[in-house]
Amino acid sequence: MSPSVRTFLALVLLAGMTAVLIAAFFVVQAPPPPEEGGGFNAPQATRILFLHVPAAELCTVAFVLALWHGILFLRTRNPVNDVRSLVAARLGVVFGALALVMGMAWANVEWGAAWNWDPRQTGLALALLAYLAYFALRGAVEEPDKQGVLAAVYAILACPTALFLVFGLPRFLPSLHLKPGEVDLSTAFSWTMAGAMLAFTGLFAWIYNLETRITLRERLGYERQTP
Amino acid sequence: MNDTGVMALGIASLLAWGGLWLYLFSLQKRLDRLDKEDTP
Repeated sequence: MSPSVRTFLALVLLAGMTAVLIAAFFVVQAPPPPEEGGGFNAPQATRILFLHVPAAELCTVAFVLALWHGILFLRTRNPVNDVRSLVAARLGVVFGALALVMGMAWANVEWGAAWNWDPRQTGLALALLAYLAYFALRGAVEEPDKQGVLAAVYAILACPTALFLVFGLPRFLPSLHLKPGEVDLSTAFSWTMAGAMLAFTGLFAWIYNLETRITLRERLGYERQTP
Repeated sequence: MNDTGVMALGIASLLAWGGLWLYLFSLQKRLDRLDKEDTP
């Protein structure tokens, strides 16, 4: 990618993110308070959802990417797939941690305590712990191909487990998280959320691309190879 | 929720977004340095 294209894309992304932030804090009206029929105890704090929701979604996308490249690695034994799986898992943990921390900030004002043992909150924390074990596993094996195989198998098993913990289990248990359609949100709120998802996805894709290229260079000595 | 709480959440959001941007820039810088090292 030429520097001018890169600068242009960075400016587009920055402009998009700025627009989302301006919309989130100055355009979107907070939902009505509970006494007026609204579904949130702290309506003003709903703005943090523009950060929390995309981070949580991208965390799961990253775990699925780690699984997908894990499968590809087992089929082809191409170390590039191993690196892509590793970077996806790493970003999944970063975005997941971001979602968890922002969720706790939200929970503190909305539900009265930062930690509530809510099934989804607890599920995400367990999923992150499972992926931390993934890195421990990688660190414990020195031989690259063996490390790749074990990590791929782990990523393939960890992803459905994480998805079940975050999305499946909360459906069967009483949860503080709102279910889709439970609260009416304004059109501006929905559009800003869509913009935030888009902006976050762009940022995620860019970081993923850069991290993959750097890790490939450092680990495999690939030169000027753009994944 | 009071204004201070909303302000704290706003600042936390900005820090998180800004942190991701700084991370992206640091990665780009690292890649550029690797590119430069590879150039004969």
